[in-house]
Amino acid sequence: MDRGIGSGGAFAWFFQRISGVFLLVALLAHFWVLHYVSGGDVTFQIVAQRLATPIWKTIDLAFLVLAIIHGFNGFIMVIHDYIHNHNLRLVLVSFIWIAGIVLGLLGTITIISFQAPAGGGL
Amino acid sequence: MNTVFKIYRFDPESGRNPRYQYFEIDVTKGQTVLDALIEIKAHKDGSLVFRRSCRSGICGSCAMQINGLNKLACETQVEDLKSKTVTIDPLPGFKPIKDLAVDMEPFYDKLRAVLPYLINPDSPPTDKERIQSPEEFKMIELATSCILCGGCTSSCPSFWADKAYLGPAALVKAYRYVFDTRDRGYSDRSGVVNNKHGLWRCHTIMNCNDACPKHIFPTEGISLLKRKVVEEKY
Amino acid sequence: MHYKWKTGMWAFVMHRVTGLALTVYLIMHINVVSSLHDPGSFNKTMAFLGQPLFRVLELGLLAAVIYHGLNGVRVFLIDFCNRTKNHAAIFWILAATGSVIFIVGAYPLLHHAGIF
Repeated sequence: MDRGIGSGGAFAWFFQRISGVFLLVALLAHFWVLHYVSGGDVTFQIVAQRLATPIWKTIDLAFLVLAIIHGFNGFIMVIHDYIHNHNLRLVLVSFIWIAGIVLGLLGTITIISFQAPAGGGL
Repeated sequence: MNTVFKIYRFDPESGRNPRYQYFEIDVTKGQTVLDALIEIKAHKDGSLVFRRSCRSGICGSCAMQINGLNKLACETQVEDLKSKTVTIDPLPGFKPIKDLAVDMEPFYDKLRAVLPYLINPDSPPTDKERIQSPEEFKMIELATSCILCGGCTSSCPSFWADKAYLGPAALVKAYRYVFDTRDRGYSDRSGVVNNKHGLWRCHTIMNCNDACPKHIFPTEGISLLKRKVVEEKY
Repeated sequence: MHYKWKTGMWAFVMHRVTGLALTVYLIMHINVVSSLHDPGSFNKTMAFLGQPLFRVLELGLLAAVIYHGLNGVRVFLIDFCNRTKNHAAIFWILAATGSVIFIVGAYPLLHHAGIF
């Protein structure tokens, strides 16, 4: 019997649960800060104020990376459930990996390179 | 009480597509679905095929889909179904052979794959058997009561999507030996359960728990096995 | 195949659907936020997304996040706290909790959009 298309899956399962707990807390904070504390409309000034501090940069970066891995890991889980053609699975999983890395880079650059513009009305 | 039985009929030799056939019988108090099938076979249509043996929930032969859920026909009283029409299908997910009989061979293959026997290279004490305390047995007591009816595996959407998936019955069997304090075969079994067609296809959909006639709750055993694999690895 | 859908099946399918939808949203979200390097274009995008239509879509996002998060709690309890036998009761308790959180969260969303 075929037991072999890639062994393992323990890490993906465990990671999904641990990152899920973190994301739940982070997401609550994210919503709270954006929609309650800031009082409604999300403008550049409000976001810039927050993103200019290193602590928020770190929190947002961890949030970004874990959210991407959690979401794309979920995608891969679905592929393993329903796609049984080895080649097609390889193509799809590779695509997800590449898309995830590109998205991660885009988000990381956005957060890290962000600097409050001088006299930006903060 | 007159009840209509809407029964899945399929005869590969006839070349016809599967169809439903309707039988109406007068159901008496306490009559089970299996009793009704036996009555239909005896008095209405002798060509109806279904598996049965003990009629008392021990052999696991008569698992089938009754009104959309997997059950043992011998343990299901028609009265309890509270429906005028009782729909009976073969176990989903397996290849139908004829009428309500399905090919259970892939199911048994998966049980064999998890090495369903005690593995312990140490020879037992010469003067007595291998000892296990009642508390230690409690851990696997439910899992040992599996009658291999196939109701759980056949109810599992993960199994429908991936026919190579071990399924709840085989994973419960693996749990039963891995968590048996007398067993030393974890390393032999870990590769079979820690696999893309093993534990990680279980998404706690819970159909198996409802389907199990012995109330084993396969999901709980599978979760414990998942944690065991993660603990052993990391 | 016409197996009866019970609580666990609904919970699983909705978890999948909301999970995939949230990942697609995450992709769009990161793209939108990446316009932060240009304050003018960021504010323009945010003003565009501030229209009532998107505010209503945000309600869907809120519902998806609440569902996926709370059912995630349920999955955690099943996997790590042996709560298999109570999974349906947990589902309904969390459904009630989620409804309250939804109302609390939806109010400011709609209020700022001028709908309430």
